[in-house]
Amino acid sequence: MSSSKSNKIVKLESSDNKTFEVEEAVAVQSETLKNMVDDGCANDTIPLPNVNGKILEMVLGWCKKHVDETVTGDELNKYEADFLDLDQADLYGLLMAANFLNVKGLLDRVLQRVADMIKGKKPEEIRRIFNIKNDFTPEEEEEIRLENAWAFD
Amino acid sequence: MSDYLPNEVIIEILSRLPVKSLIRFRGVSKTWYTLISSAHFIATHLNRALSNPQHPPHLLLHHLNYELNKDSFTLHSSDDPFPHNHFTKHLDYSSPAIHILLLSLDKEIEEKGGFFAYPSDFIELHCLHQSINHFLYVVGSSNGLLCLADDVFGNKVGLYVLWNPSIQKAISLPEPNIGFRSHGRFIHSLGFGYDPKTEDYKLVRLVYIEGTTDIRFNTVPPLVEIYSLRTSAWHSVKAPGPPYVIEMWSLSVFLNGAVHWPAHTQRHQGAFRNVIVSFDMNDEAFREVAMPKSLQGVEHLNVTVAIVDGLLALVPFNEWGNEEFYSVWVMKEYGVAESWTKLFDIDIGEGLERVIGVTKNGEVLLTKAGNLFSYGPSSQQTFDLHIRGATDSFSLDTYVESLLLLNTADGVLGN
Repeated sequence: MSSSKSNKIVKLESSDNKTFEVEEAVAVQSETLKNMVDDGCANDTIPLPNVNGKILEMVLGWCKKHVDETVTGDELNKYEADFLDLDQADLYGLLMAANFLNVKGLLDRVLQRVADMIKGKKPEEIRRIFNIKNDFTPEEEEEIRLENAWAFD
Repeated sequence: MSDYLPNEVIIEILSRLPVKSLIRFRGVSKTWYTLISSAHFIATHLNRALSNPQHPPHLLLHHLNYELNKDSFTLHSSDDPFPHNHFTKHLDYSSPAIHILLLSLDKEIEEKGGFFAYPSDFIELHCLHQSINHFLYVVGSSNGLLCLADDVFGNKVGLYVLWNPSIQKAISLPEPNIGFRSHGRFIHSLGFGYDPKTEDYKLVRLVYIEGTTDIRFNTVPPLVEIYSLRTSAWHSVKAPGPPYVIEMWSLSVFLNGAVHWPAHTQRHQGAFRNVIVSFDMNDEAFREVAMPKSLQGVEHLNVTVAIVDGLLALVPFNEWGNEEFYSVWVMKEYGVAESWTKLFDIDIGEGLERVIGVTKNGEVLLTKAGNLFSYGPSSQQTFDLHIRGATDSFSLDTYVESLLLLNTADGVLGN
């Protein structure tokens, strides 16, 4: 294992070529980055082609907040709640980033937030959000709707 | 979200959704239909529900509602299932003036419809099945699957139903193999539970055939058969039945992977002893758990098994001279007879009929003249919940939302 973690800096580059420098302690909140650090692959700038600069900045902000010992429990709760108050596009980007970077606490929160956002929606709205093709015939769709009418009220 | 989301992320999102949304989202696409109906997803969704601290299981209350003459199933919060403050607004019970106030409040509450005048306190479950007997009997509740029996009186072998209220689906079980036609008159007791190794839900039936001595149902061992949801069939059990008598329609509880019933040795066959019989749902074997020493030798013991605070419990009825009262005992260390501890007595004077259960916050639910009351063991006060029904129809179980039965073939009661 790497010896002194205290001052090591990790360099990251987003898909839109923005670079970020963070302390190793912050970066390893991401399991993916932690594995790279442990494997000794984090000496040069790590490219993240599937995370844009805006989202990466948010994720690193989350990680920084969670290693900051001066932050109280209440402050952290409020931070987490406000953090997820995003529009759909940003939320999606955040979801993909949190999944790829495997930032534990963040991923769970984002997944729950997405679930809460979609739970009341109709199937056609779900298809639009997730870009899913409707491969049911109109008759099949109607059958499902009738079979479970109580769920469609 | 216009890009492609990996499958495992979709599953993570879906497993956090309530059941009603999932049923609806089966209509999104064929892939989602198959995914949501798959046994693997059903199990994933259930495991998340069971381990979620934000949504503890509900309390399920069942009773026969006399006025409407139908079985009522309601879900209550496990933390404060029957909020007293809806009725009394923090009254001081020790004040004598309160009793007059309470009497007039009682009437007011009665006119409004009792506890069920406050619809925000409970969720009503819509039961598709209409009992052909007096009322339905809840054999058990496991992971959101309820097992109902429609046979309370006599020796008829009635209907058995597995019901998942959250997806409004029920299936009717096939007729058991052991019955009047094959074996003559009998009594039986039932148990329902879950086998985690095979992920199977099972209903076990212990049948005592009428003997030829003066005590009608005193022959051991009973015949045993078990229904498994996985096989959708009844099968006989390899292990011999227990050498004990379980009285007719004894209520059972499911704890530590096994069903438990109160039982005793045969009458007039040597030393008499009360005992608890257990049946493990996984290895399908019978074992026994000792009762507290002071209860072991009591002939004609009126006792029910229960679960209090996650522990195996006994609620015996005591008669001391003119006094009649119930006690609540818990087995602090499962299987260790010396760990039986009496928690408290329930002595409310006349009229105490049955103890239905003990809630998470220590309230005892009991019936008096067909009315459900809440009793506080430390205050020794009773509180009328204004829920009326057939005394024997009351039962309390835990309940979670799940998708169980979604991928089971429709039975008679599918809508």
